[in-house]
Amino acid sequence: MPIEIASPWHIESYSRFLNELLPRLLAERLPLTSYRVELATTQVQVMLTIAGRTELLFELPQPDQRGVFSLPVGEVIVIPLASSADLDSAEIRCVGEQLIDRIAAQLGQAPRHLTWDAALARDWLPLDNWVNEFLTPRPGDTSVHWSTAQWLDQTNCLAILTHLRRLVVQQPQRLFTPGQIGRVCPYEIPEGPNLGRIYTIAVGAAIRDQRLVIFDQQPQATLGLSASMVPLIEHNEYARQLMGVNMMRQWLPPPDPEPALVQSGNEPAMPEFWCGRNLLTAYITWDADTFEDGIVISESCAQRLGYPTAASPGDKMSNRHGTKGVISRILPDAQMPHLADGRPVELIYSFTGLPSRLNFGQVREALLGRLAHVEGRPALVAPFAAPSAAELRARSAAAGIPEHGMERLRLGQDGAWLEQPSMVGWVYWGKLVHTAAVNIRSFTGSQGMQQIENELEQGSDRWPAWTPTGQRQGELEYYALRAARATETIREQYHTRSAANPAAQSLAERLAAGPVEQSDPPTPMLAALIERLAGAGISLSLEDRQLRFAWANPTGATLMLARPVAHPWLRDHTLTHVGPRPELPQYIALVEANERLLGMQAGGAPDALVRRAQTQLEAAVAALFEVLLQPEHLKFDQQTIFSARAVAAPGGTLRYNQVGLADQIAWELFGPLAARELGSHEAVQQRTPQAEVALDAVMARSWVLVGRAPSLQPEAFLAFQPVRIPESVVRMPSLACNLLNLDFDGDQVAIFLPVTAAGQREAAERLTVTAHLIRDPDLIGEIRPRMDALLGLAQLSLSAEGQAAIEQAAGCVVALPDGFMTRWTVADLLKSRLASSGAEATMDMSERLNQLGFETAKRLGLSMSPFIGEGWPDLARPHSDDPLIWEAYVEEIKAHYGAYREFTGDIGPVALSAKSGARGNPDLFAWLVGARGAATNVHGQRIALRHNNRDGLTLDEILAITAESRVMLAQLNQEWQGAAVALRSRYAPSGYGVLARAMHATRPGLTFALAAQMHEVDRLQDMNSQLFVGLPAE
Amino acid sequence: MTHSDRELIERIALRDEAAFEQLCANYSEPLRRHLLRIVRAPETAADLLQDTLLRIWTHAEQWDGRGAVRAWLFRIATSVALNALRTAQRRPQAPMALPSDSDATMSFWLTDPGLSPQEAIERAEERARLQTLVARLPEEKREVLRMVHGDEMAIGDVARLLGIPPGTVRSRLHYATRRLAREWREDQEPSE
Repeated sequence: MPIEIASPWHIESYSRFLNELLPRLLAERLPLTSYRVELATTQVQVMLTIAGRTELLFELPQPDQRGVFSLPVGEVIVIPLASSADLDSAEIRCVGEQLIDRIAAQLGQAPRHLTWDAALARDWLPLDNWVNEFLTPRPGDTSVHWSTAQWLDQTNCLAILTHLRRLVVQQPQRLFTPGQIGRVCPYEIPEGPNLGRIYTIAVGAAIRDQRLVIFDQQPQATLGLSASMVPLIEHNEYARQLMGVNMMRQWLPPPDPEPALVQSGNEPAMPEFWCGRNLLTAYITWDADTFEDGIVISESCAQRLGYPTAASPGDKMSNRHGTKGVISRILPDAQMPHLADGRPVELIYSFTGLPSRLNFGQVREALLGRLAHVEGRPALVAPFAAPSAAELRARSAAAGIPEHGMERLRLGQDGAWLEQPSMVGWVYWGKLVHTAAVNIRSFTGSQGMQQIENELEQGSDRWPAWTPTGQRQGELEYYALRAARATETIREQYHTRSAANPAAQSLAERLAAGPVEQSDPPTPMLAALIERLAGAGISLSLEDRQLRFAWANPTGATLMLARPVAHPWLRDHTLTHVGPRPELPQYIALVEANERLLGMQAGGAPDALVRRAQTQLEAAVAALFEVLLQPEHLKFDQQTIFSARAVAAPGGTLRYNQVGLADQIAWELFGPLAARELGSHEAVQQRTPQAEVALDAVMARSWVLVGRAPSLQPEAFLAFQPVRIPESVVRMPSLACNLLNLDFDGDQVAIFLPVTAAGQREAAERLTVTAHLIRDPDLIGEIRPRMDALLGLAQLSLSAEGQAAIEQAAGCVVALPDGFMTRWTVADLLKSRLASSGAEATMDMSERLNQLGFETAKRLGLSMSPFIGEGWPDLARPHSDDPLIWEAYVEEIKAHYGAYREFTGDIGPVALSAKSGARGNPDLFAWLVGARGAATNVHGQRIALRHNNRDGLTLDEILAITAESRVMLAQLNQEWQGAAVALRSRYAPSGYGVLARAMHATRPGLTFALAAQMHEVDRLQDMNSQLFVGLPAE
Repeated sequence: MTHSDRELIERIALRDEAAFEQLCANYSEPLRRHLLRIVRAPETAADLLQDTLLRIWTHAEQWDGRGAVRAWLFRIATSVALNALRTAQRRPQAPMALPSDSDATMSFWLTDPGLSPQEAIERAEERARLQTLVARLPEEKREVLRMVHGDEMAIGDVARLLGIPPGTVRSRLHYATRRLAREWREDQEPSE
């Protein structure tokens, strides 16, 4: 049965607005004599008469059949609002109901006997303005509340259809309620702070009469559009599937759509729906290029993905099961793995990405893709109707596919055979809008505004895209740098290279002319503070490394108060003038209150009125001073220039202390230095061969800092030697990834170039990988072979010859208490090398082991079978519905797993991966091949989860996991915030100077006012204060 | 009652503050409710009440002694409210209030789930910085800038919408941009 994709509620609601709600409201509020509506295609005319003679005509926008308004400014959809998270009882207000609420809140009740004329009527009822204002989205404008009117997401067909079915819960009290089941998609929710607010209406539900009703009870009808189009969804873990459906809406539409070989049967019958490609996928390890979700594709594959621009490293891809990663390498077809029949693989994704994500559906899709290929027709697999293993085996046998469902691969066209059979098959992948070229940025000065000006001068018809002027460096980055004792770097990032520093505009020029020094005080932060305090009547001056405070009336275009009031920060002091802050609504309110009082005084108003106006003035002053200086105005927060950012990609053969810099970034950041080296700006601008030589020469002598938000530890900034690469990514060595909490699924990194000699020196001495290791030897646990490399070592260590190879790479005897290499034995090995031979020798050793591990994992062809673990362990499955018994069963499987030592057969690689600490854990292993055990569902009942991810879960089981996962997602959001709070308190400002006290005050204005009253002097004795004002740290 | 109202107005015309206070005590609340019905915003109504009362004080002598005082007071309030309404019509209104603690990230998520909260906030802050400068522009320049920049309208569309020649749109835009660029730099310079 085809699924219902229409969303008629928008147009129904708007029609109700025009024909019922609006005339009723107008009749209540105005002497309405007549009301008439005439529909045109894109406009609707509302004609009305007031008080029998004043006629008004309004032209209002008319949505199309989908509910989309085509305004001159773009296509707009209004998201329905639910009154509560209990969607079975919630009232749903669509566009018409929201509009009438909005108009009712603005339209005055006309007093009787008003003399109406056309001008008054238009002022009283600017209906078209109100409707247009309501329908105009305000993207990115944080000064006003978020609006339910949104630009239609037109990324692809699915994005449009889904946007039309979106729902927002106004004030969610609960994350998951029984009333949501069947009404909204369990998967399609945001992960971040909007968890619990945004939903997608299930395909079996609709908004009717302001209620969300269910008309189809089938399991697949409880899903949203995207999820209902994921075949094999019952094999996938909830958290990954959530990402999978969200990413499908971001797939770029190809010019030549290609339907999937494996389909759900729910896809709409429109060719442009299909945005993916069926790619012959091998789930194997391919050196560092498939590390941390890196994806290798063939040149042929890159051609098929060449929409709208050529595929390139850093472009993000995903499949329907939530696997995501960026293209790390595009290899000639001949260098890709080959099947026995000579066919080259098109895409390689590391199998180690599978066991920990439990999105097993893609392994079955690969097999079904091969079957569809052989059978010559698409495989139709509706959600919750996946074929059993027995059926797949039978069809595989008929299609001539080996019983284990895998294939032997060769290393390249004529290369050696991989040692074990690998999982290969057609999987449907899409290329996301997040391409490398879109995400690359570099900042070297305030050229942003200049560019905009130039473009407009040249007669551009549109406002050019806004270019921020620097990479933001906030409080967390400050604390991370402080913890690494990198104070010269702090001076650069927050002062010398701050975009707000007046000298920033000329920095590139000065750098090209000769060495630059750190800027003199004040920092932009101090300058802004001085201005804020001046507005509040406090003068702050920096002389001889001391801050002095005094009362002083603001100068310039100040606001003279109609009557002096007590200073809100210090009642004993009288305030007569306030500095202008026209950007603050509180200031505007103050001006109005002041004018009113002036008017009263001029009009000789009686005391009763004057007193009231005075009270209002005092309240307005207090409200302004409340926002004039807040704790965030004393935080380290700047936009830093000589910075850049780009998508991160695996570093391939880079050494642990090297970073590959996109060509564009290299020229932008190092251009001025190359010009100095060469004595010619023109050569650099034209990028002549001589300029290239000069550029590479200055890069070879320099360090750059790499950072990744959020910066929660001292090693959040790492110094590397830059190497120029002809791509739009930043390539990172695999050993450094864990320090930056970096993976290659679209993560971006920030690049900073220290421009002073002190900054460069500090980068080399305090921020390199080895410098961090010397500061904190425990970090060795993070800078070791991981994942595929560790699994390769573990696999190698199972044989005597392999152990010998490891010992040769390590250059010492290697103890294996577990019988094979684990993350702990590797860390111990490196720790003892660190103690005996120092940081550099240790990193050399780590690098050799890393290399050996990657090579081994690749050579072996380690992978995951579509029938993994069948018949293992030989344990009877319980015949019970008791959740306790199923939990015990899971424990039993884990016990068997604990004793398992063979590492042969199809569970070998997955088991060794988990046991060595490379990827996965015993729980995940038991869930994949045993049973999920038990979970608490949305009704609070503990229920048995009898199935595993290999065989597929039932809808009820998935919904119970959903209930638990929602709680965990919410906790994760909180923990994230908690980590930042912990860091802040660890390095919180201390000290007793005025500035230090103000920095940790909740109302810093009081601190400064008292300092002014006492004529206090701050000798700037703590480091935070010194750095804040722009002095070297002592 | 009517009689005493008339007396009050006559005494107010002679600058009798006690009479004025009496009148305020009698009519502040009904007048405030009347204003609120017209303007629909409690804070605005409170401000307009003040203006109304001041107008009564300064114009008491203009009462011609005919009809009910109450009706005269309400007419003054209506007139004050209408003036305010005419001015307010020219100002943009804020969209409907929604929970605001993650305004910055909400709209971003809807088109870009790949954006982390940090990135979303970072982008929002960049925009907020510009927004501050835009807010200082004169109204007609700001309007043009918002339409072209914020709403991504073409010059021609803006001209049609505002009923002004495209050349004027372009010159307003040019002025706005120049001033923004200047202030963007000056805004950061410390004031001594």
